[in-house]
Amino acid sequence: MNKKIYYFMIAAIFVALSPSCQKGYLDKNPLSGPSDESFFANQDELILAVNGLYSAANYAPLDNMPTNLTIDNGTDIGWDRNNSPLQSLGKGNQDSNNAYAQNIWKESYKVIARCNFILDNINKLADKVTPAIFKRSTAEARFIRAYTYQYMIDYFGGVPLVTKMLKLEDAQIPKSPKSELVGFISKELTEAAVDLPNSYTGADIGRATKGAALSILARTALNNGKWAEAAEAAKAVMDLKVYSLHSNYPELFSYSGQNSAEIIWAFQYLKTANTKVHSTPSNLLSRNGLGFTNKVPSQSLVDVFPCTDGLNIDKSPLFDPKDPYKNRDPRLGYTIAVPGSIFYNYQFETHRDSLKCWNYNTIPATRVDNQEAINAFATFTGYCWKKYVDLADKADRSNSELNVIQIRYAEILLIYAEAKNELNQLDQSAYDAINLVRQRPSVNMPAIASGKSQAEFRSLVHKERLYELAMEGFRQTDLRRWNIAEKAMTGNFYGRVQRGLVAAAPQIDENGLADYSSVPNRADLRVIEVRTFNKNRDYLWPIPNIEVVTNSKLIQNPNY
Amino acid sequence: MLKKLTRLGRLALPVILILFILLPVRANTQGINKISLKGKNITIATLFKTIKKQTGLTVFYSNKLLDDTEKISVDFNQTELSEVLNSTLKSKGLSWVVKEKYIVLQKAAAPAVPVDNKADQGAVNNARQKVGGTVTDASGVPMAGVGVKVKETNAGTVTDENGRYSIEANSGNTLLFSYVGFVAQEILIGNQTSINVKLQSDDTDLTEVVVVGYGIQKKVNLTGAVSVVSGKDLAARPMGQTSAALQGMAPGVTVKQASGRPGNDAGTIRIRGIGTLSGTDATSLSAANPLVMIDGIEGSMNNIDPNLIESISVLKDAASSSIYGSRAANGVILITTKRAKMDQVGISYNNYIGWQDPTNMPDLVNGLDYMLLINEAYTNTGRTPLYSNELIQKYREQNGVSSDLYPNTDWQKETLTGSGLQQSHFLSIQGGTQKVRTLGSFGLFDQKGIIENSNFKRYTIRNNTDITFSDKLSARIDLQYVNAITTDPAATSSEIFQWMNGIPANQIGINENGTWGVGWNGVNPISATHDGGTNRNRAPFGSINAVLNYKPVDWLEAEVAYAPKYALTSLKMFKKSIQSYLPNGNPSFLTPALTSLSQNQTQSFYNNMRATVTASKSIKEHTFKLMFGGSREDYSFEQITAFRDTYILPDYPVLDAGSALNQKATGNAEEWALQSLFSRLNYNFKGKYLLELNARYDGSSRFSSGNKYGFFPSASAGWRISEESFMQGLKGIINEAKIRLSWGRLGNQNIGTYPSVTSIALGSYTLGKQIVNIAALNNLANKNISWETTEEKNIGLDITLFNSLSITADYYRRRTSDILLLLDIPLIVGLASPYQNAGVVDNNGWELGLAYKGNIKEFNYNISFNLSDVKNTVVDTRGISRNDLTVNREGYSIGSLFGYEAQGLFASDAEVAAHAKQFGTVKAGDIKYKDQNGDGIINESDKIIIGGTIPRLTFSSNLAGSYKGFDLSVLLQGVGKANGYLSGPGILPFNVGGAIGGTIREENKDRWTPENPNAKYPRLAFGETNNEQASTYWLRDAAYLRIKNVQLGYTLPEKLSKKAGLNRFRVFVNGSNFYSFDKFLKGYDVEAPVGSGNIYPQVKLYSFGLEATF
Repeated sequence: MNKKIYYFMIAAIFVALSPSCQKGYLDKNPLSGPSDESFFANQDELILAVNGLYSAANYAPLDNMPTNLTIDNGTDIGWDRNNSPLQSLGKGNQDSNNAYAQNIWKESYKVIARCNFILDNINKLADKVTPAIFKRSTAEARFIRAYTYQYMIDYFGGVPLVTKMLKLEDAQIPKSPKSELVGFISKELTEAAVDLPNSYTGADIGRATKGAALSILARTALNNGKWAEAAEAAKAVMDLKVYSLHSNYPELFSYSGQNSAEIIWAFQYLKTANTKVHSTPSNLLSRNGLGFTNKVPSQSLVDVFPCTDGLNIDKSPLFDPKDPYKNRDPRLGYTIAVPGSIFYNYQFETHRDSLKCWNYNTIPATRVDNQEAINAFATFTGYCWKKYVDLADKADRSNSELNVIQIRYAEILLIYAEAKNELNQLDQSAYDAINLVRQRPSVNMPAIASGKSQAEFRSLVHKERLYELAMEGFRQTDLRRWNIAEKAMTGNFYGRVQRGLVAAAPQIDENGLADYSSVPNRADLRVIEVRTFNKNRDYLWPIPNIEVVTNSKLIQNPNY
Repeated sequence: MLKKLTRLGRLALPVILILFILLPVRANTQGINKISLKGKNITIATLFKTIKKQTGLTVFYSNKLLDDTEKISVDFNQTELSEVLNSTLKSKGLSWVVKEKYIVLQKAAAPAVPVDNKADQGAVNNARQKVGGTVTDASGVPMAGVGVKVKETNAGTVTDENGRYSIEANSGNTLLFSYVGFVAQEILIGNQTSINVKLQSDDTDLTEVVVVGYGIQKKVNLTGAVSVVSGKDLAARPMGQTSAALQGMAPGVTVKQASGRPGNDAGTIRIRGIGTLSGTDATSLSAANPLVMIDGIEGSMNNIDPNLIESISVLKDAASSSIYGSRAANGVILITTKRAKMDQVGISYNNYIGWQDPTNMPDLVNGLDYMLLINEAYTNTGRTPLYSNELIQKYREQNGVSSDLYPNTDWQKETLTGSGLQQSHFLSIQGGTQKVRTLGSFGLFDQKGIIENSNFKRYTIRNNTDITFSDKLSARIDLQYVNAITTDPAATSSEIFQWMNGIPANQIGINENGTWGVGWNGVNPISATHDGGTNRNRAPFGSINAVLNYKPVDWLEAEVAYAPKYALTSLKMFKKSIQSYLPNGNPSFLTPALTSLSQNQTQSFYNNMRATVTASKSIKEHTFKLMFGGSREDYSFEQITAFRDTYILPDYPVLDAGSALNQKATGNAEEWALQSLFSRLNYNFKGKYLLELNARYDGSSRFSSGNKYGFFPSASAGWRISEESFMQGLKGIINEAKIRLSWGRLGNQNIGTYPSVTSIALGSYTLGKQIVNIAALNNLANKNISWETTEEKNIGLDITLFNSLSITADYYRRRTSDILLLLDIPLIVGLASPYQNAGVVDNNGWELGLAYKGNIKEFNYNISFNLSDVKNTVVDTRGISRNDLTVNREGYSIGSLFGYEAQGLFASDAEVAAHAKQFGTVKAGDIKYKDQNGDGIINESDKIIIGGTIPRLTFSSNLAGSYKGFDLSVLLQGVGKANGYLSGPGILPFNVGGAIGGTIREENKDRWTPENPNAKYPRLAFGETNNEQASTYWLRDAAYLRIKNVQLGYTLPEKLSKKAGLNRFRVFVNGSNFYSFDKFLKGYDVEAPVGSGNIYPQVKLYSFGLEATF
């Protein structure tokens, strides 16, 4: 045979075979980021990973708002107009696929995994990182993890306690009892507090501080009836002497209050380069203010705020049903836009016959069509939330960079007062704590006189939490630990009388729940929804159904 | 050596014969060649070698005809070639003919076997007459290049480009007309001098070849399951995306077209069911897409103008597709583009222009009805009514008109204002010589949407060139440039359709003074389509496909190919703020708050190198063909995105015009590589027993070392029973009968680029009002991940009866195991789930294809019918199953619908009380669900599989007929068994799931009330979830029969078209998506994917066009 043919064939086969000869052709590694194996090589990488914890913790389970600004709208004091999973939680028709609960579950364990990833690997860096950073980073990760478990047990009860990166085969884990989780959180925070600094400057503001760790320790203890621990941790925060109440209450929830000494820990936002924003203003704002009014406070919350004499409206001589917003705790007007007030530079009037209103954006003010009366989807209750609604966001209401407070000093004072009372140690320090909150300059409510019984003080402090902290995400947990959710969240959820006022004050009970049965024109109150509360089920959220399916050791919460 | 060479000649004879038909005969123009050779006892072969040396002409013949070892003695001195050959071959009963560079020896006419002067065929016969005429195909189109031969004299010629021929022959001689793919015709010459011939195409011609992986195969020798679709049939469908045009074209190939959005109206192709589970929705599993190879290069079905396509082969069974190894698990589609024919020069042009209409739109209530009904829904749930009686009274008085005070907006009418104009133009120019042939194609496709600012444009330029350097060396160089430009409103079509079907009519769209109304909180589909800016995607790509083919000897062929492809995409989304106004002129919402521009540029480079060696050899009755090859592919991708907002001058949509404050730039990159060795052996004994073996060895960069390589073998066999002697008696009835059997193994690696590596994701966050960088671990990796494998067995039968009815039937069983699944993992792991080799899925099914052609006098018709079914069963998912609307459950098909079993509506509150606890506040008129486990509570554990989304019993039929110049074709297509499920805004009353919703359809007025207890729909209950649960109540039968396409054409008689200087001229009218018969949800397309129905619906198209050949 012709030699040429042989040569040719050999050449052809060589060409065909050549792929397998060259090494490395098939070795392609990700181009977009380092591999998890080589990570944690230096201090920079550690700090990047720790920064990632704060980013993960600041998630939005609904409508691009952080959890604490939405969740009160699933309780007796607020309502979500969208037929959302949060509305279901408030209305009592949630099922085990409830997306709001599932989002929180999922995002929380994502945060926990990021913490575990750091804590599992940080020892690799022991000699490559300055000791201060090493200790602080460890403490930050432990803080974020404990913070996350803290609210998980409030919402879900016992949950699986994951403290290490899980391999797939090790992920079948049962719930730990709530008490065990409480113990874990306490231990973690106690230890983290030791290594965390009192404060930060510059680009470190927003990191966990000693105060934050002690505060969450106090909150966890309070929510779980560990009064002594709660009082002690709250006292520790007070003794830091770092924090003080912001004198101007409404300013605290605006851009000017972002650096207040009252803030212990806040989620950070920054609009530059769309780094991190939230949509709180557009969801809360009135129609004239070009908001969607889809999260609104209830009539009952409006009625619960006391008069300036400190008495509830059913008791106070200062209350005039014809001018119901006069002589009231200033925090009513700071927290809620009430009819007749000025909200976002418009006359805020939700009476259905007020077809025109003043627009103060123009000079002089002009009369314009009043959307709060005309638009069928103007606030259903007749009121709007005001916290975190700042005129600075007027042009771009869906992209606010206003920091959202997660812990503030007023809460610590109220924890201290409540815990001391429950410990039956109702001393002057407890009165001082609650009165400090009541008497901040812009609030100026009369001080609570000493000599109250434990029950009287309990009622006062329970209600004070509502006045002070409404819309900041505490109500659901409070209702649950006071065992009044079944009372607070059953029956008609009311909005204002659309063409008139509530004829007489409803009865306000010791926990701050309003009862309208004695109100003559109660039939004119707008029924926004009819709620049911199954006390054998609704004190806990459902564990996401998919989680029960994928983790055979996990048992669904009762009756879901 | 010489002997071997001549033997090669013998082997090549069939090939040469084909050439003989194709090549123009130049025998009579051939210059006279003189031969000088003197020798005793030389072999005939030596003589032929000398001829080759002295004249350049190669002598070809079969050993059956001539023993070239026979010794002869010669003495030629400048003797003419004809004399040399005549004297040598005279006694052998052979004649000869010169074709180009070949002297082909043939058996002389039968009666001329005895030595006879008259039988001296090479000699000139003075009694000849000239015969001429035109050869056309069945439809009257002139055929160039048809071989015309006088049977007795072997004198031959070919028709010119007008189909004309002229040849000298004796009366009483027979003319033989032949052309590849057509039935040869013999005509006895009488006294006439003009003979016009119509050739019938011959689909079952034994020479018909089918494109298979890395080669071609004679159809009769196929042992796998392969369907062929001709490009002509595809081009007849006025579709922008070729994938959609494939619907109904081949049995076992299911195409689902979900949307009619310009540029996004591609079909989802599933070959023999779904073999993979990666993903959650059975209709959108991109990992289940077949591999598409365009002229041997991986590509996309949709970037290719249907007019470019010569044919499509669909490799359905594992045996046919395993040569593509790890990418073939979902079947392989091979597209062959058109190439220039030899010695033909011509220009052809075709076009069509048409108008689109939506196939379906839901019928929504007017403003007054909406208010009355939502008030009823509020009242039913104990709420204060939303709208006051005074307002409702005003609406009553207004009586259906719309005004600023009491709007009554027809959102659909106001939004569907796009022209819907669609047009296609396609020009091709071909020309060439023996050495170089080239076909240039230019295509323009332009589709405007039924909403504003929605359109698709595609420019195609393709140049296919064939170069013949010598007998041994040839090359193909194809260049292609395609630019597809898709435009969509910046708000996206799906939002627009959801809004126009969701926003209640009592919201204002356009104020009386002409300004944009507030719509739904500033969301207004009318203004968003007109003024909201656009999202424009330009996706140009260029590719080169260069192939060098070397054939050192006739039985051996080597091919080296290099095909780089460079693709860009440039996405530009300019989202303009639209100021809406209150009717009094005061500005209201500015939506979105800021005008923004996002730009995204990607570039990718795909490299593909391939080399194959093919050896073919026959030894007696054994024929072997061995192909061996290797390939290497790599891909790199890079993208950058840039963003700015706050455009003070919104007329300048460039980054520079925006504010730098919120500017953002991001980017990433990826790459992968695949290298492979593959081989195929074909063996055939006596043309009766066929065997094929394939093997591929693939290495992929996607897997970690140790798992990189996979081996994918297959085997198939065929038995042509019709060739057995015992069947010969039936040959007139059963022309062809073949049984095929095959087995093969395939792989799948469509699981992202780096599934075995976990990388740290980088990003940014803020602390202390400054931007900080973050790093996070987001995904769980599985280093042990490996190939997904599919094994498939196939048995098939091909029968041709009476030369007119062909039947193809196949039955297959396919099992995919080690499926790469993104299983739900416990969320407590905190990382996104990794791919795992888990899961087993079976696809068992059958296919039947029938084709019949016949004629009644001048009426020619053909009918084809395809029917196929596939039963898809999830065998194992490692016990993990999701609880979404669609689930993958063991024992059921992929993407099964999962929900409650509805038991009608509760008749009374007492019945509610007696029944298991359902969702929220349940009352009479609400849907009742079956308590499957009897535990007194309706929850997830009561859900069952309620339906399947994979179409079963898919069928299609093509009816075509022609009479004189007229032709008509009708394509029917349908699905015999499927379920559809739509929920959400626009379907469920007042539903506000997703971005928006709120209104109610006319049909839902038939709702339960105490007065209407037998209603079609449950009571209206605002904000209650009970009736919105996934259940059989909302399940619909999605079986359908659709008149997919009707085309009526008329070809101008040749005489007339000639006058206009045209070879052929045809005009046609076409109706696409003409009508469908189904029982689906009113107002929605039956092919709509499971979901909320917020899709741009399929469109009807009425068009007309022309085809002209110059």
